[in-house]
Amino acid sequence: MSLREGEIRIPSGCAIAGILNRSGQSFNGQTIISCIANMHQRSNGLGGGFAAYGIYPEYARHYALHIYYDHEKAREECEYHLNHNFDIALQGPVPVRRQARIHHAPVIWRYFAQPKEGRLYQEEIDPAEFIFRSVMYINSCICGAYVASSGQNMAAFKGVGYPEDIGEFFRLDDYSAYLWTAHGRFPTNTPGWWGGAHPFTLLNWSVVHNGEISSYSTNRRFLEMYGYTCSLQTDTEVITYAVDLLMRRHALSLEDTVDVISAPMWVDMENSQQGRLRRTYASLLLNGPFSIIVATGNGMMAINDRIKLRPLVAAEKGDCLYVSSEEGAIKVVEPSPDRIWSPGGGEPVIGLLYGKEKLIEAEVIKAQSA
Amino acid sequence: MAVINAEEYGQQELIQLLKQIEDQDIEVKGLCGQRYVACGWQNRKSLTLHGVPGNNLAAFADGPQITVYGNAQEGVANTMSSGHIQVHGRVGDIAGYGMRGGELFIKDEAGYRLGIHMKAYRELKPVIVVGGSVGAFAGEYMAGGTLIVLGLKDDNPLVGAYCGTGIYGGEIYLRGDYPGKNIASNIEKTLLSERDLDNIIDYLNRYSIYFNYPLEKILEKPFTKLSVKNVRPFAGLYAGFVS
Repeated sequence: MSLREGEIRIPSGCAIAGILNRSGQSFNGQTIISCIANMHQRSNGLGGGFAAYGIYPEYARHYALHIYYDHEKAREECEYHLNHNFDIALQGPVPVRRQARIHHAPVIWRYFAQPKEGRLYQEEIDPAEFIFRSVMYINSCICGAYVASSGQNMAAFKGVGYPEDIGEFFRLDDYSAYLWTAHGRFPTNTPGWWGGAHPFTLLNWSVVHNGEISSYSTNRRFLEMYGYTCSLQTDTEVITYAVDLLMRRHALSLEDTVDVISAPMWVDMENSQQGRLRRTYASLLLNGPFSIIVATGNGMMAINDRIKLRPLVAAEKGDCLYVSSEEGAIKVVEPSPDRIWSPGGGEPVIGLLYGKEKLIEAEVIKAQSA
Repeated sequence: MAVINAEEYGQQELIQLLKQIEDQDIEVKGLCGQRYVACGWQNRKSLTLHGVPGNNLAAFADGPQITVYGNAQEGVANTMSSGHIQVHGRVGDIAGYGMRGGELFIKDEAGYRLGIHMKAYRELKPVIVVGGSVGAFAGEYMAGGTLIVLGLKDDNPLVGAYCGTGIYGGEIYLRGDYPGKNIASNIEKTLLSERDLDNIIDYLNRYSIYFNYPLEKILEKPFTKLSVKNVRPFAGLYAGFVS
């Protein structure tokens, strides 16, 4: 039995990439695979993953739960939970293409589900909050079950291997999406496992990350007070939960969220609002080197830590926005962009579908039980 | 002259192949992110690159003459000892990191941490000339050499925040009468007119030739020279605590 994350330390970088077609036109998964494969050397075969938006138009209103099981018993236990809480329109194993370079894959299932009306009524919460609680429950209480993604009309496909192999394994050439993000992993400090591969997701959020969040424990303790349970043993998990808390539950604007997670230095602050946010959410400042891409069904945001300790390049061509760790990875799929630039530290690159103004329409919770 | 199409080779294969070629002149087409081109080369070969060479182009190099028709990624001329690099485009972060000698001419912008830890020794004097603007931390901990930023292309401030933090040697030249913004505290500013430019006029002239940009336009503005105010900037930092 190989050692799990947390049981071994491997000191070591990562690759991230994202492509958005702002007009919502879908394109094949092969494009993002070529993009991330170009940065092969940034990862070491211990993790690769993709997030795809707009791939399930037939079930666009359903929550697509992609769940990994270590064993059949975990599936039985998890399905008992799902059947009790959800109306499931369709379920089955996620289609994969078996290949030699990807092994030790868990049992991977997907469920197109809606929370049962009766359960929502009992809990007095909205569907998104219901999904959030279910995901936390499955990840932390059902042994051997991990939710890979839980959003609408989106999914995360991730695992242990080079990203191009993971893409082939999950048959991404069979899917079309208007927004793709990708990650090639070079695990820092830990060995890498299927649940710990990027992207990290919750509801429609997905995050891919290159770097190291040295504030992980501080962030985790703060998030735990709001019901988030960090069970996936990777620092990136807190980023996903932080943006969910800030933008979905506390309804902060994108600009304010940026001022929280990548706050300017005190001496560089331009207004008192930034100071207030810095004090209120001191524990959600992401410290340490990072470049991340945060995506939802509405678009994506790429951002660096405030002093840019990881590379990030952005480019535009027509309706498409590209972001990536390296310029070569953009040029391999778009040889002649209209514009190409390196964003500064803490300076977000934001791409939204035409007609959208936010990454997410906030659903503020009216009452939060202790 | 040997002509190579980078698309036909794997990363490692390409680097090995380039090393084995005996021709003095080598042209490489179709580069797209391949790392370590001319890394550690100790020769005066002439290399013409098309596309986007990957990270650490000419890192640790001692001598090669490189022209890039395109942009370059992170770590160009990292710890380079000698040689000449022209980039007809922009470069990513940490270009000229710890550079010890040689020349790096960049037509457009450079990313964060340009020329940090640059140093000079006797006849080895590294020089970086950037046509556009540069990111934060340019010349941080600089110990020697010359950094010239022209800002010909855009309205951005010439340098990002923390320029020259911890500098204790070398000179930074910024085109125009540059205000104090983004400049570290241990720096002395001197405004130079055209006749004070003896130290750098040759580099400006060559920038103008390499990238076909009129020298008169470069000289339209004066230059601000940044140099070290105090050679031991931190000598008194802990003095109050020690005794």
